Amino acid sequence: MNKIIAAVEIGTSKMKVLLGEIRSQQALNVVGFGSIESFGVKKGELVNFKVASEQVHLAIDLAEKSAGVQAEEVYLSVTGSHLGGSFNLGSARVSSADNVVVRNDVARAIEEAKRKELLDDRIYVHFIQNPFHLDGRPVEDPLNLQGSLLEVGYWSVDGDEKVIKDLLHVINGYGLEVGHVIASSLASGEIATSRADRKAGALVIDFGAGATDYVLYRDGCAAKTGVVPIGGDHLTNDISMGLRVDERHAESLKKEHGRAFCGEEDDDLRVWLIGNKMIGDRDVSRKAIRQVVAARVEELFQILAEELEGYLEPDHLGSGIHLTGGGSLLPGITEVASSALGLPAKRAELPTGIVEELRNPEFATVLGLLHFGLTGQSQVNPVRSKGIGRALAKIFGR
Amino acid sequence: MTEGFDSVDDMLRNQSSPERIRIRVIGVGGAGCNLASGLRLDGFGEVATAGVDADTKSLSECLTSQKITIGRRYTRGLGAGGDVAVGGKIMEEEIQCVRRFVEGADLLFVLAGLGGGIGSGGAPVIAQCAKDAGAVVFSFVTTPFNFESEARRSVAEDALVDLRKASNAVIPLSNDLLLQHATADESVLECFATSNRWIGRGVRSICEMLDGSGLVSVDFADLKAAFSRRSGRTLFGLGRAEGKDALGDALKDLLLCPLLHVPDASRLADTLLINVTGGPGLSMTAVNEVLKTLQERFKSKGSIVFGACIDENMPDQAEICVIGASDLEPKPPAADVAPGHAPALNSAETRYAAAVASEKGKPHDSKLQSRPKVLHAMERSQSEFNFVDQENQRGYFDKTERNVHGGEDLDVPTYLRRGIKIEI
Repeated sequence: MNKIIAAVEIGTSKMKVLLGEIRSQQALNVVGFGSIESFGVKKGELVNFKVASEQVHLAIDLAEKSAGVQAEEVYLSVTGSHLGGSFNLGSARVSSADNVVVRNDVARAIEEAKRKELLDDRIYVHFIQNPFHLDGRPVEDPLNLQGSLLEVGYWSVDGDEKVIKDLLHVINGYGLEVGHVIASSLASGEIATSRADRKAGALVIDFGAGATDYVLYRDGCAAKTGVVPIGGDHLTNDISMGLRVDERHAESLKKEHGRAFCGEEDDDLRVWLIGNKMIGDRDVSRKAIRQVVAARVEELFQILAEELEGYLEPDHLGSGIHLTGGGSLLPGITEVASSALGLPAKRAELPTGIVEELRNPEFATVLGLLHFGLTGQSQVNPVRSKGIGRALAKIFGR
Repeated sequence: MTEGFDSVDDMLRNQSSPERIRIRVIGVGGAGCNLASGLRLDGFGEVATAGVDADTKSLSECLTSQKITIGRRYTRGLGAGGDVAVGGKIMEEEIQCVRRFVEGADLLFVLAGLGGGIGSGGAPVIAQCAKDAGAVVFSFVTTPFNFESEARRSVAEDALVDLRKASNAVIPLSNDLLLQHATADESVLECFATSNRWIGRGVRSICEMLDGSGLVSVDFADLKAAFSRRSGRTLFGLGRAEGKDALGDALKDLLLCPLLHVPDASRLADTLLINVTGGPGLSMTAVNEVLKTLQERFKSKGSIVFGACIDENMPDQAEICVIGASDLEPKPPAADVAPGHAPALNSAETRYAAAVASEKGKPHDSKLQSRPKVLHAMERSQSEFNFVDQENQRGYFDKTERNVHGGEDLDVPTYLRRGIKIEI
């Protein structure tokens, strides 16, 4: 009997659960799937524990029923503005007389890089190792090489302990333990890019309903991750306020008429709110919808550009920008992303092996989670989700 | 229908001056004086207006019937320079200059532009002084644009909190939102003119209701009772239209009013004040329809103060003004109750109810129920802090944590923060 893994995303618009079975040679073997509307989550974070729990439990139940098996271990994604990150460098003088790097030198460099302490209420979610440098030159594995100064950098992702504990409790409430907590950005990044993309350098932007997660890969490693707390819900709310329509109608206007930029001739159209011209129906200007959306999307990419300042040299990002998440379906978004960040942008292509139903950018995070669960096993140490320790989940990028 | 007097004092006052309610308007600070100057209140008997400022030059351009210069000692007639601490201090020390004006008032309108020194510092002091003297205080204030300095905005937010403590109702008009309602190509200056116009209409609407000459007029006691409790957030909306179906169109215009498009609008309407003004053709049936729609829209279970007036000068026009206020307290603590200022929890039977009932020719049963107040009060006091935050501009994200980036709250729509005018 193979182990059944559940990938769970407590999303802002939907609760998504995938069940997968670990089998050799098959990276994404999805055996069960459950997705239902989300309540009690805003901007990627829980705002109503009880309601959100019920929905998550329903989604897990759906997935288990569709698979006919029960989940044994959970991979859970985490997002929201509470996530932070920092790059810490560790170095060690090579100690042996002949200047050959030994295990102990490597261990000392790594220890120093990870030693950075956090404030009391925060915990590490990931330590992501970036390439070693020996006397300034990048090396894949420094062991047995000659040099005097060994350096290693870690991109460390940290989060609010309470927020993460709440998420774990949601899953515990179903009677399952969370094996691994993974930042949404890393999950999406893993599925939205190939190893070659990451090696060439890539920026993955997951424009979700509640928040936008991003991860920037350099030399195959995640060199920076982050969350901008702006998502598709902001577009809906902006439309709702700007056009004075209720949320439901704003959502459908966004989907039908939204575009990331405005100013083309087909803007000068008026569209019906409900479409049946019944009482309460109203015609609104399509240009207005697009103005509202364009302002928001432009701002989102401006913020991304600010946060990624210094990271966006085209030389290091050969694969360009990969957009994913439900928001990436917005027409015109690749153009805006490209001009704001100065790099070629495209919608990410999810791997072909995935069933059509799930090959949707909305599912990027949960697919990425499952991918981690099914492939990343050997390198990922087990995690103590009971009484969270100093670090939650593991080292990527090696 | 007999009026329930809340205290002997109230009764005496009603007997001694049953005819005229003394309404006064005071503009505080540069913007406030400007607002007060722009009011056109002719036809309402003696509505006295005054402007208070430390800047003698701007005060000299003020068109109010009284002008009160303050702070000569500190500023030598040159304004408070935007320093709210100076503004507040001057006003506290020289409150006697203003006291004489506000003391005789039954109803005082305090007008100010928040964000500056005298307006932000002085308005709460004046409101408190008038409230202590027994007046019902309505404050109409404008709040700064989002693109103005962070400092101005935070001054305005603080002032709003103080003003809420001192007024029966505070109606803040966000310049950001008003920009949305202005016609295309309007400059910021014209937008200021819009806020003047809106506040003018709001004040006028209340005066009209109380004037007594309307189709359905409001008794001051009703208004007073309805706003006797300290209010939290308020709604304010205006709709106006011309033409064949002016009233219907005015209602549509009102429902599109950016200031009314806030979540939980119903929660904000514990007390709803509705005034309809139209030409001689205004029919009670049509007015009833409007009222029904608005009641549904705001699901108001609380008191409704309703007035309808006919304006001979508006033949094919109609205007609807809505002011809603949420209760912050179930009732004021006993110690705070000034004589003649007692709350009238259930006596606020509205004139509207009476008017409708008499029109239908049957007795009405719209006794206003008092809701489970305790829970209510707890909810309110918990959310009171939120009132400081971006007035009603966060929509769906209203009750979530602020999403601050570079001094801006990202949950507020970008177009509002950037002053992009959306033509709907």
